[in-house]
Amino acid sequence: MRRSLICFAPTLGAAAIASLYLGDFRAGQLSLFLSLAVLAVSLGLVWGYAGILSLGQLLPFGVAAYLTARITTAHPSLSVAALAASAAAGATISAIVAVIAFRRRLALVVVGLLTLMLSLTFEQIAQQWRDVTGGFNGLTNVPRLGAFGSTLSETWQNFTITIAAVVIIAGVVLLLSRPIGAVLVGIRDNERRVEALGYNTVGIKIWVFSVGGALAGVAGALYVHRTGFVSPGIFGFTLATNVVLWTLIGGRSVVVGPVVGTLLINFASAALADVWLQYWVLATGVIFVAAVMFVPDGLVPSILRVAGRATRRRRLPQIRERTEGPPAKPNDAVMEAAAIDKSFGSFNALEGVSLAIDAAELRCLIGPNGAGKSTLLDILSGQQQHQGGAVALFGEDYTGHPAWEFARRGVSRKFQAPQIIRSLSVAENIALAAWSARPSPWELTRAAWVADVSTGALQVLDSTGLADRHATPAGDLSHGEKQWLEIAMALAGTCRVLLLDEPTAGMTAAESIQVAALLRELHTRFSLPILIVEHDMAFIRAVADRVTVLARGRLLADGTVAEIEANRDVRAVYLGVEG
Amino acid sequence: MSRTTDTTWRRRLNALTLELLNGLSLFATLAIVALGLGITFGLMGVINLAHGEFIMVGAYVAFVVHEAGWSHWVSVPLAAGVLFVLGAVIEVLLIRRIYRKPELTILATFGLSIVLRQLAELVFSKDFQSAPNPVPGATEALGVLFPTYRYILVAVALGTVVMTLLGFTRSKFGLVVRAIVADRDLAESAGIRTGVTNVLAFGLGAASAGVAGALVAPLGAVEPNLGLSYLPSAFLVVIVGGFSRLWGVLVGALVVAVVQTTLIHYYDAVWALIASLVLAVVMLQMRRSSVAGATA
Repeated sequence: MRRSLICFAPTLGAAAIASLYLGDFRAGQLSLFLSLAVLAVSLGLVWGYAGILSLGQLLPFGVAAYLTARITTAHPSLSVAALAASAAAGATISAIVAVIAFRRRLALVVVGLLTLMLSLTFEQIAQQWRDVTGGFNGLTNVPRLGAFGSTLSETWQNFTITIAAVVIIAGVVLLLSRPIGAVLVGIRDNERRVEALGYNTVGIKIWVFSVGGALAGVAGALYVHRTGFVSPGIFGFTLATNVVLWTLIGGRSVVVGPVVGTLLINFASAALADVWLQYWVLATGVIFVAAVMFVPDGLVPSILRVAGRATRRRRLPQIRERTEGPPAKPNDAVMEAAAIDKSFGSFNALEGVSLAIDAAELRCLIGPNGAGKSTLLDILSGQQQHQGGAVALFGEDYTGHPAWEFARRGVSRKFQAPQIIRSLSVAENIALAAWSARPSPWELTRAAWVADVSTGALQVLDSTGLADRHATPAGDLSHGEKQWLEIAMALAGTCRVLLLDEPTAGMTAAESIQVAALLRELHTRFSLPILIVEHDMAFIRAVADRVTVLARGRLLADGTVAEIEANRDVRAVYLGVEG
Repeated sequence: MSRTTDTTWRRRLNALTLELLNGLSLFATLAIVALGLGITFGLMGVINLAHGEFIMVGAYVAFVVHEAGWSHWVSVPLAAGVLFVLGAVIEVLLIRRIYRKPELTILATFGLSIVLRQLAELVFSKDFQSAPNPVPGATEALGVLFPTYRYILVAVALGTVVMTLLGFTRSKFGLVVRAIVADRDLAESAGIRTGVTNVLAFGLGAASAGVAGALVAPLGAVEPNLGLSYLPSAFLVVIVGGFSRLWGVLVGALVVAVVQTTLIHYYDAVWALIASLVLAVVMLQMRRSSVAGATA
């Protein structure tokens, strides 16, 4: 907080001085480009942070510009009301687009296509709906910012817009330094993992898209006051490409990236356009393509990397031990799957499989490849929908519920290939898991940079040495360490039953023994029910109370390790011998 | 009495016929305009935002052919050839390097569209040029007069679309392309040269845009921004028709043409646009699996 203030105050001061002493022409350019920078930052927020490439960020921007133009040409002193209406309109229209795009989980490129198409269609609507939009010529003579019956002079409008833009951009920086920033990066890097931690990722994406829309709306209102007119081109292809170019060039993964990109390209355009207009536009196209091919991350992150600085501020969240009451009285029915049918096309992955986990057990699920083990684990954690049967958690029906609701009820999952958030540090990964206890986006913007982590997770971190590597980016960990980190993440939040898919894959024999000992300890110390998919018989002998065998999508056998090892059917499916 | 009724009915019937012909011509235009997008996205998972500019280049080919004093009909195959080469070059220089990152292909073609538009402006200026209609005048058929050129446009456009689609669905090349769509790595390890196939697919997508450009050139002005006016409808057709099946282009073009023609007739162009948007959104909501599957 103090450090961001140290950066913010001089920037604001410099912007204020620049605006007042550069003269109306330059100051006017500065305010114009900064209002566009706010638009680019809104794209940086949804694209760079949440990973949603929106090519139609002009939709909220343009709608807000038209709205502000209509309101203030009729009532010049209503600028502030128009600004609020613009933010609301931008947020609303983006929320509608987001619901369409994310609720059905459209592919990312389709979302890009949809947003661009919506924007281009609005351009045509604006051209033809003359009564409201003024047709091709648009709306002109939009007054300057005004209040209480008078409007600002040009100089003071430039000053006001400049200051407002800097404050808004600083607000975005502040917002993203909260836990929500880490959650958005998590969704960008690995949405499945974040959802399995208990975050409603679709809801968060709709939220961030709406916030981006509100920002773009405010940018549109400032822009139209500054330019004094709005025409259908505000939704058009040219501006759409430009916004993406500025954001891309500056670097979308840091908030200042889009600002730098916008100012750089626009001041260069303004300087070169008189002499060199056509070639300059051609050059922007070439720069665009070259940037995609050679510097896809953008200038600011690339420069930071060359200078050896981290692109994300590595202010580590403070990890604290969560004080927990004594383990809840074991509930008999923890998790129950009844007569599950699952097919992929004509292939029946699971047929009538029933499985119940009760409080005091550590169960292993085994079976030959293709038996349906991972599919069953997916269904037990809400990752996949199934055609028949029912799933219940702690006696409540959860059939058809999304994965994040399973996770919030306490179902923690570790995937087969380790799923961690590569670009976040070890500590941030753990904090992300712990913050899932208050997963609404608004709470995540207010929550402190402190995570209360379960004792079990801290124990895993301590015993594996990860506790000393809090600052390491998770992507730089070894395979085994990623496995440990993911197990710790699964434990860090509300974990009432743990599902592990091949936790020892890729580990050495010694490491496997360590995992076995640790799991046994967690199981006894916290009365934690655990279900493990495994192949390694030595490991299974070391941990399992009970073993369930699946073969070809059906339940084959169930019993203690000794019983299973003596079972003729089981030997038959594993060794391929009959009877 | 009976005589007036008779003429009223005849007038209504003629108006209806005219609307049907307008709709048919829109359908054919949409189909040929969207064909290339459908090929590059459906087969390669690449959203080509420079598709409109490929159409624009095709239209300029028609303009140049006219300036050179040749017949307009030369421009259709010539535009296809020019654009095939352009598409192939772009595939090799750009698209090939970023296949596995769909986001980057969107961005690269976005930048490419600026480059192509600006090059057109540098070479031909911003002025509106024209490639005059080779067969001015109208033909009387079914009781109404309809521009002769549009009849030919419908025939050539639909002919090209159907031939291309048959080529992709019935030939060995089509089979190879579909194998790559299904699983690029598997196709490669089965000995399919995905590189060559991609060049051909992207080139053919571009060539179809060239045909579209040469065909629509006489309908209006030839100018650097020509492609931009066709791009939204082309996207619409692809979204409505679905991404995974190539024949979706025809279905999408038909649905969009019917909706737009009907609404323009009864209301106006704004409502036609809004209805098209709603249609696209409804289609996206209904067809979750195929949409997600297209780029999975």
